[in-house]
Parts: sequence; C-alpha cells; structure tokens
Amino acid sequence: MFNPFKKACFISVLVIIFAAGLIFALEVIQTQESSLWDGVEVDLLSVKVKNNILTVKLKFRNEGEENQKVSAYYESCYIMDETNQKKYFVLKDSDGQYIAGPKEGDHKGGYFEFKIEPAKSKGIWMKFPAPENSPQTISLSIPGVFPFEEVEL
Amino acid sequence: MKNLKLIFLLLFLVSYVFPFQTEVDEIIIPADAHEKAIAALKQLGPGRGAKKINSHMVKIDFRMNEILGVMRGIEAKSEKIESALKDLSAKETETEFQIELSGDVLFDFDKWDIRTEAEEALKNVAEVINASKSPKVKISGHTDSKGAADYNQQLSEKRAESVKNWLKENTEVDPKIIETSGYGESKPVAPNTNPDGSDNPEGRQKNRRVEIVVKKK
Repeated sequence: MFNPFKKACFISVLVIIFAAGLIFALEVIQTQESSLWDGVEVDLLSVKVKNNILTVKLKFRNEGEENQKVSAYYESCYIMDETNQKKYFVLKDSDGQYIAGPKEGDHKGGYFEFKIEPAKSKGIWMKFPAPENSPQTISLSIPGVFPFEEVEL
Repeated sequence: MKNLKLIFLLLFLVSYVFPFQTEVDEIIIPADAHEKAIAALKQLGPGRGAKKINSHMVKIDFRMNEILGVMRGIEAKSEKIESALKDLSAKETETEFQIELSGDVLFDFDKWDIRTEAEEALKNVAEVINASKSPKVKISGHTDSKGAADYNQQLSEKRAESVKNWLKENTEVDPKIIETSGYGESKPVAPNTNPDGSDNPEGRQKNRRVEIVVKKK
C-alpha cells in the first residue's frame, strides 16, 4: 500500500512527533517547592527573551493528597539581576493591569488564584522587562514559592 | 501487516506524546500580550522600571516576598468576603454572618428548583463560606402564610435542601458542614395581613425567604 517514499515520509513524521514530545517533556528548567501550599511544587518551564521582553512560564503541580488553593498578586512577582543589583517587576498595560495570566481578578493589577487537585497542575505566565546589561543569570521570586535562583538566560 | 504495525506504532507514539502536549497547552499567552509588553517597556524608559537592590539584602528580600505574599493572600481573602457580604446585604456579628435571600429570587412560585437568576447570589454565599473557612452553615427555609401550613412546611424544607444541593453541586463548599431546616410559615418577619384583615403582599414577600447563617468558629 505504501511505496518506499511515502513510507519514509510517514516514519519521518512519527520521529518528529516523538522528538517534539521529548522536547516538551524535558522543558522544565528548575523546580522549587512551595513554602506555603502543602505538596505544591512549581516548575519553571521556560524563560525566553524577545524584543527586550522576558517571558516566563511556570507550572504549579499538586503532588500532595489534598486540594490546594494557590493565589498571589502579580505585583509581588519579580525577577532579580543579582550581578547588576536590580530587580524588575511584571510589565503593566495601559489600563494598569499586569501583563500576565491567568487572572482571577483585576484587583491591584491582577492576581492568580486556582484550586489544584492532587496530581493535577495549573500554569501561569508573566512578561517582565529583560534586565539591562544582559546578565547571564537571573532569579525569579513568586510569593509562597522558594526562589528560582541562577536561572540562565 | 506492515501497515498494521505502522498504525500501532503511530497510536503508541501519539498516546506517549499527547500528555506532554496537553500540559504545555494549559499555558496560553494571548496573541496581543507581547505587543502590549513592548508598549509597556517603552513607557518605562531607559531604566526599564528597575529597582536598585543591595546584594546583601537579596535573601531577606526573597523571604520578605514570601511573607508579603501570605499577608496579601489574607488581605485578598478578606476583600473577597467584604465584597460578597456587601452584594448579599449580609449582616456580620462576632460569631457569624447572617444572609437572607428572597424566596422570589431563589425560586419560582410553588417550586424549589433554584432559578438561574439566583446563581450569582449563591456563588457569593459560597465565597463567604469558603473564604471564612466556616465550620458550620445553617440554611433555613421560610414561606408566607398562603396555603396549608403542612404544605408550606414541606415546601420550606425542600427549598432549604435545594440551596444546599446547589452549593454542593456547583461550588467547593463541603456539604457536610451544612445543616438544613424548614420552618414553613411559623417564623414570619413581617405581617402576612394588614390590621384590617386584608392581604399584605409586601409582608408576605418578605416572609418568603431562605436564611443562611455562616458560623465563623
């Protein structure tokens, strides 16, 4: 039914799908435990800089046995450039809302809040100014979570 | 046969890859977010909104942020209760929150199914219960005096139970902490009739109600 060319294409597609899966699977940069929510661990999934904007993606995983309600204001999240001794906060849009998500409400520029069932996870994203002078590493601070330190850019 | 093997292989790989794909798909950044960020960065000017820090204070700064996060979480919780209580026109005492919901808002005439229009109010009730971490909630149904007393008693019980079921099915409120009761027409808050014996529709409307007491401790 398949000629050799079609077969080769088909296998190539399978290999690409498989490789893509592995890339997604290996995407965790660093993991920190929550200092506040029992059994919650937070994966730093990606830190990307484009047009001087630094975008981070995080995943909150509930490794415990009980539901956990996780919440924090985006205004309390920041990145720190220890080399140049500067910290940067989440960018705000023209309406004063933090450019981050998801948002449960708009209070104080927005906050996230979600219930995570055991063995489930929820993700958040935030956009920061990329630090000036191109430091090699940054730290990321999220309320209720031990800091992500020495994160390479 | 070979084709069959390939199909199995494809199914295996897709089932292996799919869970990772869904995890990543959870984080969706809106298409316009990056443009907004670029505009925001321009507004900040050359310093990019950076705040100078003392390197010796870094650890303290991280710890402060953890504590601040907890405090703000409590603050947000308190604001949520305040907002929900205000929307419900609820009363607060030292030991409990007292919420009164009109029967006409919650139910259609002679029915005990929750009306769609009542859902917002009940979500606020759930917010108060959850945010205050209440250990006990009492829901009581009341009717006006129209109709037979026995029938009103049953209707009030069904209505209180219906509110409990709605909270159980639609919110995170633990149904085990909820106690329901019906009082029929026995506890009016307004006269059902006027002094001359004529009907008092306003009074009867006030009597058709569900009272919810959310205990603080």
